[in-house]
Amino acid sequence: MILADLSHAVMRQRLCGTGLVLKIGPFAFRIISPIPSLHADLAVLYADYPLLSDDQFVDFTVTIASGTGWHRWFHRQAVFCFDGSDIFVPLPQDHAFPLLEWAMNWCISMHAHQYLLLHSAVIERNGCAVIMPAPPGSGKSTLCAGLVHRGWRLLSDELALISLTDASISPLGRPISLKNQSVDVIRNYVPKAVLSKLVRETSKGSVSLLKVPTEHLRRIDEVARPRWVIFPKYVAQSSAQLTPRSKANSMLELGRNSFNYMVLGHTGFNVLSQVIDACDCYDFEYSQLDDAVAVFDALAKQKVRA
Amino acid sequence: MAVVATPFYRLRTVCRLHWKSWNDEYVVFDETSGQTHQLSSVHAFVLHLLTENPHTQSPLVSALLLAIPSADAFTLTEQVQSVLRELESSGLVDVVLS
Repeated sequence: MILADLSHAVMRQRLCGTGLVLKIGPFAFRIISPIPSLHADLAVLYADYPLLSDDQFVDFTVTIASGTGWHRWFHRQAVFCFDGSDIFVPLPQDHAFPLLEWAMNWCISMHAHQYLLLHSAVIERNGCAVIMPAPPGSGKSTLCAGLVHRGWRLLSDELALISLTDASISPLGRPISLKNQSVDVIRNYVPKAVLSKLVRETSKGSVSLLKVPTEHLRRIDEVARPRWVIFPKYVAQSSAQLTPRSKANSMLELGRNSFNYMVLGHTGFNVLSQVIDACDCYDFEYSQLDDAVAVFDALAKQKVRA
Repeated sequence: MAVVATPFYRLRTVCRLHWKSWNDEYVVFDETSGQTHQLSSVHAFVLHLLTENPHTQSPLVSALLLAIPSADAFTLTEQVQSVLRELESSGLVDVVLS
């Protein structure tokens, strides 16, 4: 059963009551929220995700509640509660859906130490994964969104989940967070793209989330092998270009981009070493998505020939 | 008569190192501090010697000269000095006076 099988009335009733349990990648999330704007976006962007029964094991319970402080008399607020504690500062209530996404990221990055967790997009083709770590504003999510609508499979836009036993990467398959100009870039590049309502004036600017293609969710249990580490950077007017970079430095950069490399200690070092062993490492500059797609496709073809 | 103490360099006793290399690129992970360091070939060579035994600067330079016979002794001496300072500031090596 998937979320789309529920009527809106039943979905609302569950979200306002004991919660809706969704299988998202390898995790089970119980989502509780009385906020209608969150219900609307959840129904669209998570329509194809498996719905679990109420008595199944849940990894994380995420509550996006209405604010109860004096602010509520002037501006309605949304609050992320986890295990009875408020984790982030309250946000305006129309930020509820992006807040849910950030809350889910927080849950995974703070707790899922059965994986080496990198702050990175990951896409896949022919079983081979590209790990794309990059700071905010580098064009990582835009590139990721463009590629997953031109033949690459989305594993994750935000978090690489790397196995501690064999360094394979598990798909997380959550919506891609687009910010500011990227929203229109992707609307133009993927006219059929399904996006959540644009939320303005968040801490990251204007944010809209892009729905994951249904066929990618059908393959959510297929892991991939790390094959490339690519540090992307949008540079206006640049031509799309890959430049080989140092493996040792790439390992250090991935360590800095990790949420739990230090937590995992020697195990983290071993797993990250395996990832770098298996990967060619590059810097990548681009300005046009079509050019970027051509470069990535050529890389995938090289791998097939090899 | 004043005796001038010679500095000996040694791997810090608390360090537990794990190595990884790709061609002439090296990283070393110190399990005790949780820090990972990127090392050049010369850094790696010197640190490796110090993991075996404490040394003064002079035998480290001699060993390096044997490994790179074409190198200039004066330049290598300066380079080893700089490498030892960096390894010390990274918390991998400490100095004892004989």
